[in-house]
Amino acid sequence: MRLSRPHQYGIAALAAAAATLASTALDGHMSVAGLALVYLLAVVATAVALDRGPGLAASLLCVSALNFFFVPPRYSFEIDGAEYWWTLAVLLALSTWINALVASLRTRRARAEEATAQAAQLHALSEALAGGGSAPKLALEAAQWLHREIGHGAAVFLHEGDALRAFVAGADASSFQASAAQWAVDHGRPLGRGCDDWSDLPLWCAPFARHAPRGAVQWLLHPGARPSRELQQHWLAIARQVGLAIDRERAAQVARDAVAAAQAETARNTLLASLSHDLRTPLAALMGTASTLRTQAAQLPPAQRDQLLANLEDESRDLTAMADNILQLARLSQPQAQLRRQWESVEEVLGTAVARLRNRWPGVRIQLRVTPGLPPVDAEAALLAQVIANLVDNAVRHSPAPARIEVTAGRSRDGVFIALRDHGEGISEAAAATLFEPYRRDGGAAGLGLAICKLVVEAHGGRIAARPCDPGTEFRIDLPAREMEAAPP
Amino acid sequence: MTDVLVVEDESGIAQFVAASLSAAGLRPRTCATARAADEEIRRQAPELVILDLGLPDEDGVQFIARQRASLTAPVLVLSARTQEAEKIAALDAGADDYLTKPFGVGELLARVRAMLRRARAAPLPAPRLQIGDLAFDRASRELAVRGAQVHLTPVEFKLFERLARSPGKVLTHRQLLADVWGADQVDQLHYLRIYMGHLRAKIEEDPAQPRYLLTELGVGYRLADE
Repeated sequence: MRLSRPHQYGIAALAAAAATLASTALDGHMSVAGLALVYLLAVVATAVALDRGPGLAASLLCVSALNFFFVPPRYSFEIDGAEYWWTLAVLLALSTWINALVASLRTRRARAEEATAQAAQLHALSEALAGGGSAPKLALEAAQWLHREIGHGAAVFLHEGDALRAFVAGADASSFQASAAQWAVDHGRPLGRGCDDWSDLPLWCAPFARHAPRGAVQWLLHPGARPSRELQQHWLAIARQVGLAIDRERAAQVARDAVAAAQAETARNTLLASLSHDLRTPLAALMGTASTLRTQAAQLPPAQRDQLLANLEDESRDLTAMADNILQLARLSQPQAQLRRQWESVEEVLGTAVARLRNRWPGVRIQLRVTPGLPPVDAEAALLAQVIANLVDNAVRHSPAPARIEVTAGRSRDGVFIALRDHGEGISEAAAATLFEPYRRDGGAAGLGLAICKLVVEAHGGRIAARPCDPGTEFRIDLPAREMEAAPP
Repeated sequence: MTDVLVVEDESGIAQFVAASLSAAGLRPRTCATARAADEEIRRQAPELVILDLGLPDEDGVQFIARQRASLTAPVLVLSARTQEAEKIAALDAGADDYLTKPFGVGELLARVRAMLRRARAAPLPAPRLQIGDLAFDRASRELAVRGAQVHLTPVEFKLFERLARSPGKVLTHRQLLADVWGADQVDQLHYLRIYMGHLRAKIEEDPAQPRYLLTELGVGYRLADE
């Protein structure tokens, strides 16, 4: 810590006094020129240790002291002889020069340190904004960073539509001036304290770079603060960097959207292709069966008629399941698919789903085991039930009759797991990896069904996987559980 | 003969519903609009209404809200898979039960029979209730399952009592929360989940496969009525 001004002048006086004491001790052993060197030592020491003013004061004090105490005639400021004139003049010149030299070195060092600090600050800003996300998220993060690092309240203004939207940190939105931000954006230059424009405002505001998205940064300054030109240059660089980060994010978003749109398009095409097959097959069966019954019912033996009627029911049930899947697929593949999530008990969802499935597949043995006291999951119950239905359908299709299916649920490391094991034909390790790929078709609606399972589970923040067992296959769903709020009254 | 009003604008469904009701010994009347339904109800009050939620001239939920005060017959709502929210709103507005399209005749007739049985039973709430192995005495507040007394906490009792007031009827989450916890708590679904879990643990043999306290997924609960 540097000493205060009065202290520094005190030290300057002390240094001159110390040089005088030393010279008194050396007096008689040295010429006046030699004593001048002793004083010069004090001058150099004070120049290095003290600020420029006190340093200069020390120089003047030393020259005066040498003159007064040691230059003949002693104890007066008169100077007797040209040699002493020279000695004093050289001492004075040397001491002021050294002072100036040290001061300029010090300024240069301070500037270098400041530049380093500013570069570090810019680097920290770019680190802080590297996370990505979305333009508004980035704008808010930038405002928070600016608030921490620079102003006692900071805002980032972003053009959305034809209005500026403010993202603020550290102060109320009302503390900032949207009109000032708009002015800065329109005129392309900073305003506020220390600027040519709007210098009465207690804030500083600068637009993003010209080619960046339209927007500005603004922060509140402490009363009396007056940023220097150099500091404002640095702040401009910060404004530019915030703008560029947001620009990058927007560009990335556009690219992501384009990729998603292309993927959705491909998915739609594949879906349409597979649907036209998967829909037509059961429809053909329905139509054929119905017309057979209508035209030939009288000739058919009752057993065969019953069989055809049962087929009609089965086929339309399959079509219904498929329609449900298509409906959910359409809903979940939308970019902003909203789940109707609620606190659901896994036990309830599985219990209901399994009860329904037992009705649907009377010949299938479905065992259900749920660990008591499972934490609730934040889920859309109908979708989870549909996942279970799809998995059971799939298991029944790939098991020799009568199919045997075990459904278990329990606690996993970070949530709840649901496992579904069949004793069917099983799958290879390689098939297990691609089983959930969208629109993979291996005989009927099941291909679509497994793709929906994956979509639904992932929309709930969970994972689904299949692994071969001996015999059969196990599907495992992992769902995150959230801690529920405090126990109700 | 039991008079059932079927309000459905899709003629295929109206026909098959009417045909199966007739075959089951009931007397169906069908109409395709809310306006026509108003007229039919005015002409003669039905014993049961089967109502499609997607009518051309009026929203089914509004129809129920409008008719509920004067209509004593129970209402069975038919909803499509895309009308989940309306289905719940209809139940909240006073519908008694629902079927999601597509449904089978077996399902339809089971619901219709149960609703008619309830409507004809002694005016509820009955002082004593016997469902399978479950016996509930409203007056003495005693509940016994498989011959053993079950001790309920006050909130558990309130919840059970609310369900027992109309066995077989679907009660939405919202209705149960409002009646048991209060109108300002209708969004606290987890209260309901927790207490339903407690109740099942005390009453059901296998809480995951309940016999009495039935879940209507995404809609609400009902107490089994047989």
